[in-house]
Amino acid sequence: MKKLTTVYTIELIKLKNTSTFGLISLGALFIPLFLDITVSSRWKMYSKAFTDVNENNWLDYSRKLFNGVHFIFLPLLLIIIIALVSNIEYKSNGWKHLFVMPVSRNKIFISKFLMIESLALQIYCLITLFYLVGGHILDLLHPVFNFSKYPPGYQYGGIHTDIIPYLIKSFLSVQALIAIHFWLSFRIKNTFTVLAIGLGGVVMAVGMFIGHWESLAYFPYGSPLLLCNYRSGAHFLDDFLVSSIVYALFGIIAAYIDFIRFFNA
Amino acid sequence: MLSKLNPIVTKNLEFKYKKGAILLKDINLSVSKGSIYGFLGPNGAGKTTTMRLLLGLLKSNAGSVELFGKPLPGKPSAIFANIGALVEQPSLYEHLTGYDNLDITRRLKGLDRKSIDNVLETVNLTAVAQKKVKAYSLGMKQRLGIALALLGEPELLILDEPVNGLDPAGMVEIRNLILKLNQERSMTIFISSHLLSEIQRIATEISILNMGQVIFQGTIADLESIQHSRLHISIDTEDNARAFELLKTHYQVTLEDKHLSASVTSKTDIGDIISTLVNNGIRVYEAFPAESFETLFLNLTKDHLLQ
Repeated sequence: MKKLTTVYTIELIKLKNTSTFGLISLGALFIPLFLDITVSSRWKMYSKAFTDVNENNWLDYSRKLFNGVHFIFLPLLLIIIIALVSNIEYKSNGWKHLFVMPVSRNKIFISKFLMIESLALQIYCLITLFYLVGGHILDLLHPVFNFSKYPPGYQYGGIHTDIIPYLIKSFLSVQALIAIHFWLSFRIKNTFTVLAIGLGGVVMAVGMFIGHWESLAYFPYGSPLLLCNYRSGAHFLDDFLVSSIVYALFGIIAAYIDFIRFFNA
Repeated sequence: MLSKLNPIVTKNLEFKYKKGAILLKDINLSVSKGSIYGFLGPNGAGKTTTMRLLLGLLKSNAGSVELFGKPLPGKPSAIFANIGALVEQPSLYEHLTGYDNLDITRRLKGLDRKSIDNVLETVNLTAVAQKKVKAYSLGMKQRLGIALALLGEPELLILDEPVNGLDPAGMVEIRNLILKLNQERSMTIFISSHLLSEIQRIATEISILNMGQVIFQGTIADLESIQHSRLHISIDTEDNARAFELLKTHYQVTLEDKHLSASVTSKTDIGDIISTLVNNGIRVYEAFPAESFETLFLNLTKDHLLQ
């Protein structure tokens, strides 16, 4: 366990002086800031529109914000972050040095995967923080929104969801994409190729989303999109979330086998 | 704990890439503890491929590799705890400082912070440790790569062309460092190069690799005895043209630009040649083996190519 935490700490050190944390912070800020500026500039129109639908303005504010997050932006941000972080090892020719250290490939694999997941979690934490702060700033600027009087929540089609379960579902929805790109990151040395594959996947998912393809639920890049205007179903885990988890499991297992048995520095 | 076993032993090592020709065949190496083992060969001979196999970075198609008696592949913590390696270019995170790069390796090896200061002093990089590696010169990067390999004072140091790209002063510095590590710390050093002159100055044992096969393995003295046994000598006299006329009927002699070359069957003939010249009033300025180490190296690889 001690060695695993050591290897994980080393992965953190490697991110020093890179644009990773800056990109995560700015990326997490972008949609909340954009939405706040838009709503604030037309606050009379938005306050009327929100209140016509709900007393709790968080519900519609959340829907708009997380639609913006899940429609292309979050998937692309994750793809870029994974590609940049993974490229550090290739750029420094670091794999051959890493593999002659007294540490097992298992621990290297697990620590790298944990690093990617913790960066994804960081994005979620920051988005949530900026979402909450953004709502309260809007409230300070325009008290008519009444954000301070109600708890954050998400509503679409008359169905209300608490914000925490929604965020958990969102995190599950991106697991397929994370696992696939983690695997690709050490199969394909060229960062641009990996980015192109990710971009292609996201564009295809958007096309399927616009065309209302039902099979979008089973496409690995499609799950985040299905959280736009999300209406929760009878079960906590919708089909597209189960699909994302299954893809993620297959992706991680394939990545593990590939890394342990076949990957050469 | 210091191991008594030979640090590197390979048996019938063979390697080829998928669907490719065999790159290495029947590589049998035995590196003695405490030696500086020079691994020589022309470019493309397979030196770096061999080193990658020694470190488990590539999997052999046949044969075995043992490091301190432990076979590869094995448990990395058991095998690599006593080994430092620099294969091809140093693996450096250029966005980090020299100190941070060493800190990463230090943590992986489970060493304390003091070990970083020690190796920085050894390679003379203490003053620039807090600078980002991208600001380092090529020589400084090479020294940092060696510092990474030295962390933890390994028993075995594997260096792949460590003087590549260095100026003469840099080469001297690395050469002196290698000698110091071997003499003061009894470190076994396995060093590859295509520069025979560099290896000749420091190695105690060498092997020569050509086209994926070892064509010579032994000590420098063994190589010197081959050099002497081939009995080609160069002679420089006060009148080479006249000396040639005098010798050509009895010996296999050729007149070169500034000296005579002679092939003889025994060392006695060398004495006879010199006596003949002196007795005929021709002063002999010098007589030495015509086949330098460089020429011997080239001829050995050429002869192997022709076989």
